[in-house]
Amino acid sequence: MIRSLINFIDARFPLLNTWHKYVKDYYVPKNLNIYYCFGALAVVVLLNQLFTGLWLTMFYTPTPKSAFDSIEYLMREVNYGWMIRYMHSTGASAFFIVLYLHLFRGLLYGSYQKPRELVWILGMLLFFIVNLEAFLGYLLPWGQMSYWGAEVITSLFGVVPYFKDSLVTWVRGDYSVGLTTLQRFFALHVTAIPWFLVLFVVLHIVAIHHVGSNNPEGIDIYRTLDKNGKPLDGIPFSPYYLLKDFIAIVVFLLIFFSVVFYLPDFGGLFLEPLNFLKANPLETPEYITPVWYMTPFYAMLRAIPDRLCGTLIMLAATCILFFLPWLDKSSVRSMRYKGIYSRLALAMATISFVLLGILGRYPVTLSNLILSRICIVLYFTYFLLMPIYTRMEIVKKLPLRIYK
Amino acid sequence: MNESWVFFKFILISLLLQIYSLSSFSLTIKQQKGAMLYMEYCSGCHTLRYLPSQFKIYPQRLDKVGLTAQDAEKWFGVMPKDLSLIVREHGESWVSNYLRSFYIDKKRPFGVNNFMFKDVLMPNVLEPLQGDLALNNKQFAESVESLVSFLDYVADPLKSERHKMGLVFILILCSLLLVLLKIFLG
Repeated sequence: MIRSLINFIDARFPLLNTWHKYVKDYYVPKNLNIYYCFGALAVVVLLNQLFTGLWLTMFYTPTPKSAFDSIEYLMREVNYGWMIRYMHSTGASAFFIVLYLHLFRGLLYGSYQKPRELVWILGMLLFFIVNLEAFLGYLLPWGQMSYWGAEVITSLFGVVPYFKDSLVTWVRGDYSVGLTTLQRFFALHVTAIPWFLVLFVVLHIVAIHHVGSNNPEGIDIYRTLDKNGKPLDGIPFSPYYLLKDFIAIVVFLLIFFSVVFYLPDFGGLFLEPLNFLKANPLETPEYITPVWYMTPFYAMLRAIPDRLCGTLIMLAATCILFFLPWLDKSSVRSMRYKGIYSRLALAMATISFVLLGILGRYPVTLSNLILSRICIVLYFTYFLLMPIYTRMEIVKKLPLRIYK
Repeated sequence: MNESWVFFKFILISLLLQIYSLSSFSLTIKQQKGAMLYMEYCSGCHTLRYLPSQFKIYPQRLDKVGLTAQDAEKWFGVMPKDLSLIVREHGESWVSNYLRSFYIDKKRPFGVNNFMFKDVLMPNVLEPLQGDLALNNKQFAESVESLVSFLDYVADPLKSERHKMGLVFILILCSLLLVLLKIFLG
């Protein structure tokens, strides 16, 4: 009976074709390691955010008067409301952990190189959209940190020459963050941005399936084919990588739910203590910092004395990643075969980025400022000098087969 | 796959589910003591807005307070803060230390100041409990602990349920992982 149903659909929709192309006959390198799980995990977290978010919108009120109260009501009176809320807040942080690791894999194994430039660009667009979504969502609880964080970041639009404050008012919908801002952020966060997220995720997956996966060796498996035209160093996605991803998902869920049930605040990193105070436009907190996943960019913004330059540097830190496929002039893809300069540069960039993230959480002092500026220079050096050092360095000879 | 393996997991999980029942809004003895202390010393000025609606320990309403904003401004200079989320904002140890950190300062309107909150406008309400510090310090400490424990309950009433449910979830996921690893590692 199932067979006849499948045949009915397949005669009218490319069901079996897609199944074969994407799962059953999709050949993937046999040497993919743990870093290759994070794409699937990102989809799992996205689904989590969508479903928990849907249930949250059923109980949330997007007005300054009732937003905070509606969330406390959800946490106490609604059956398992606390679980929905914690899954959503933990999911937001988990999203960024997964995405940073997923991105790092790309840097490590040269996944952005030809022919995967478009996959990379779509991925970077996704990163930008996820950041935007997180920022919009953070205003919704209407806590002290939500309100003042939104005030600070929306005021950055005032650096645009000529438009200045009129642009700030346009973004906020009012002279300061208030009811209008909350309502539009809510609409964008719940409806508009998720549409773009899902669309770009689909495009991103279609793009990678069109050219096939990279692997930790950076060897192109489609150069050595067997008599059936299948790559010698490839294995079908189903069942091998389905099982591998499934295990990764279960391990991830174990860690995820441990946090949700036992440490949802995560020491004040996932749920900031100051956000348990209702927003008060008349009382500015002593220190205004964004959530941990945006602190590297915030540290860059703060380290530059001029507001326009600071904002541009902050944007450039993300934008320069778009150009990576064209900055990397190396003849090999993976760090395993690249020379010492590339390895040092990546290590330097990673450490600087993490350090900036830590510095961004603390108030501005002289040492904080100096260290942030050094880190910014080191971070950009990785990208700006890449065309030079990737051409200069001595790389290892790339074999034709994996584990020859 | 080994059938007895599956059977064993099923028995284990159902046993645990029977032992743990999701009871709502139950306070420990310590928290009940804290609630009584709160009623006596704190509820005159402070509100607890987000108390669960099923909270019926006392006939009086804890989410409203007799102190009007006008009188508060006159007597203290500020309306006392709502305490439902104070433990989530500052942490249990901060609140506990705050209640024990009042010291005599003649320059302040109530004659006391606080190490944790400089120039606080609150008087030392728990002074009657402090007694002779040399002898009754331990009792005072216990009273403060139970009061803070109650405030911790108000900030997060479903904590114990959350922990119990978490255990069940983790166990189910662990057994699922073991099954998968058995398949993967052959």
